[in-house]
Amino acid sequence: MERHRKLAVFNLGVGLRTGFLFLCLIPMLGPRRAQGAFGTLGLLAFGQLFYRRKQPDEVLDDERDCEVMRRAGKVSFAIFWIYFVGALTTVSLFYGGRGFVPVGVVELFGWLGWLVLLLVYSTAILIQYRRT
Amino acid sequence: MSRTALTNQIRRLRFENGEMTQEELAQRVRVTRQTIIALESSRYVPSLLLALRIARVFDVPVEEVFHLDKNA
Repeated sequence: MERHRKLAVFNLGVGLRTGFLFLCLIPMLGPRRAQGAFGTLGLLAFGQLFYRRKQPDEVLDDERDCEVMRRAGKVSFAIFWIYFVGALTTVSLFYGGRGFVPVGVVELFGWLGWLVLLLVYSTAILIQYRRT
Repeated sequence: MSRTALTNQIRRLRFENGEMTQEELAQRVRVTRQTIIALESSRYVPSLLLALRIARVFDVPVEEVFHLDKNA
């Protein structure tokens, strides 16, 4: 299995667990404090372990991997853009053009945006590798 | 997993060249073994540079390695 594919599976797992944990914590802690669940996204740093070279001259990725990453990046950017516009529109509709947006809501949209980007990017990578 | 219109003779050429392994070919053309697997099963169309590198490894013209399907 390709390194990028392993990393995508790992990232997808971390992302889904984080989202699930966040949803589970909302009834107990409320939406603001439940955002602490997003701290588990720090586990993504361990993804770098997939890029350890076993041999000095080992090829970590090639043109096919780059093509997969490029396409996944385009898809995730497009989806994130839809999310971004949707989030801004929602805030505007909910709080009005001259209203004050609570910091907690801004934080939540930020975390959710990051999660959307991560999940779409990882999924797109897995789909691309499955096709090629 | 869709097949591309570009077929190739990489598998045959590997065996004709001392039963070269996929890993060995991958190292010589600087790609991963998974890319060689994808190429052999016609699931990936290589760049011109990679196609030329592969042809050079087998010391044959690139047309002998890659063929475009008649219906393509």
